[in-house]
Amino acid sequence: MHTIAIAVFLFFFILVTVVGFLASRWRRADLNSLHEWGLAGRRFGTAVSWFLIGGDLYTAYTFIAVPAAMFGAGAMTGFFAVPYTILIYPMGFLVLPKLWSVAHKHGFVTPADFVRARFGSKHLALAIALTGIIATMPYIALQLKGIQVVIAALGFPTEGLIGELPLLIAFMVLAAYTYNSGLRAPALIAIVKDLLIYITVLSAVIIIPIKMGGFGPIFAKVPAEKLLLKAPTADSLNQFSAYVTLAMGSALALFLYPHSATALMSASGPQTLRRNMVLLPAYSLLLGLLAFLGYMALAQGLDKLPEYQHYFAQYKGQFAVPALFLANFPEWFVGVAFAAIAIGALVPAAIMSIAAANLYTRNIYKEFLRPDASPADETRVAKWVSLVVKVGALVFVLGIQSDFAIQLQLLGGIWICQTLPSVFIGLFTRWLDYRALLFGWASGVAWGTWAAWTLKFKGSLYVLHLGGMAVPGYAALYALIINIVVAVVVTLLVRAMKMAPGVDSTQPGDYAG
Amino acid sequence: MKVRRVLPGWAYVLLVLPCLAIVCVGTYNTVEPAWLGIPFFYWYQLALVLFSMVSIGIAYFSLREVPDDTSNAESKQ
Repeated sequence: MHTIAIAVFLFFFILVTVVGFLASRWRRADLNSLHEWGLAGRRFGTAVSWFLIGGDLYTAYTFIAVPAAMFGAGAMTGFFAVPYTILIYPMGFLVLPKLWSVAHKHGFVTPADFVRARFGSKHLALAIALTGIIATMPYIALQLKGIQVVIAALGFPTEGLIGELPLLIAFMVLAAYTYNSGLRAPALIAIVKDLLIYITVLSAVIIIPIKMGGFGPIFAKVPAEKLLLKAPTADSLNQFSAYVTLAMGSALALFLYPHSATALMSASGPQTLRRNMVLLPAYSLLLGLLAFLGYMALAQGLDKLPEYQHYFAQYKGQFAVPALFLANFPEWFVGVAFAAIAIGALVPAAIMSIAAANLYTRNIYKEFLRPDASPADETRVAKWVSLVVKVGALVFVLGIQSDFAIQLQLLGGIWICQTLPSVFIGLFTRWLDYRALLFGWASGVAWGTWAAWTLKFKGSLYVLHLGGMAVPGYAALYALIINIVVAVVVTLLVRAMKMAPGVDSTQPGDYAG
Repeated sequence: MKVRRVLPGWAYVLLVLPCLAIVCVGTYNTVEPAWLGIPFFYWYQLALVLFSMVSIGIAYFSLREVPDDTSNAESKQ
């Protein structure tokens, strides 16, 4: 057991718990309204939004998984996170102010609310909402996985009920303050979390290379096939197309995830979002540096050390970052670093559960089950659903193989991408017909799932054969192309058959901001 | 009066440029020139992150405010 590290870890954990509960008094308003509980009244300025969106997009799972991928597979699966996050902000700059403006004008809480109004179809909205909920669940489970790894690294037993107890406690605390304070809790906690993350990552990328004689010796120990991408050959684009499509597909998917939409809609206006698109890449820089930690663990041969061997056997590359901190830093700093990772999991887990709750409440409960629900009813249901969603994720992590959570998260990425035509293209034009969008969505989801099945759910790189050329690429992107083609063709058919178009209850001016 | 913000045509280039640069993997998939012992592949992509902050920043400052003439009273598109 690492007593000092545990003490520091507990200190920060208790600190954020207090912050989480006190958050309900911050910018005090009636938390019985879904706009207040689930979107914090859409009043977050540039700085708070920066912390909230940053804390939401760059999750603890990222902090564990990106270095783990570098450690295990190298640049291809690890470093694509950098081009991925370069692509999202120019796109966000053009798209998100529109989404915010129309959502603000009509009081939309979820992306599915927008689709409902834009295309006048509650069934299309249901498809978007269900895709969002299903894609979010395994994502929450992976956050808990991140907490599990650092709890194990602190020296707690990893098996049996006692091994699961710290996670259960962390989780109940998280559930309680999310229920109590809504989106205000993760927003305030994100500030603490991000400061801790910046301190730990920057210290690690400065101190460890100094100890090891610079970055040169670190990169020198990385095998050539991990260091660079496999260049195209006469019959295959190899890792070039894989790297680019993985980055593009992930970038397109990111802002479609319900938890991103929740954080974005809580901003105070379109200009707040634009300023954040300028400032958020700072996190990408941090993420790139963080990726280097995987190589540092590799260069130090930490998985060969007897004290970490059994952890690596259990958690594989995911133990690279915890091991690196244990091996290179004093106990108290290990406590800070692990607290940063654990709290880094709580923030997105809270936002994700709120986002899933908003979707259920607005697009399933109010739409199909109780159309006459009052705003107070909505909020009550959302609060309970946020608890149910978290229990679901916990059952996942404790009861089911964690590999299954990773596979589902991978499928979730493919599925969520299929909501792009309805949500993002819908922001620019309502030319596509709602029936066509449903067909497109179904085709994309079906093909993407099939593609993942052919890969035995172990990866998401599907090899497309164009003429004599193999093009390995992210299945989500290929599925999206099929989705859009189907949507366009069916729209033309619907128009040709002169079927009644959907009713758009938004106005062109609603999108300006 | 309600205003909306429009991006001048040339500023779209600023948004496309970092994306275009990062998509051209062949231009940076090399070890040399290394910087501080970091292979080109890695530091170049991180430098592109900084570049994208600058270019999106310029796009932000180039936004022009115009009176919102797409009044809601008008008929739908």
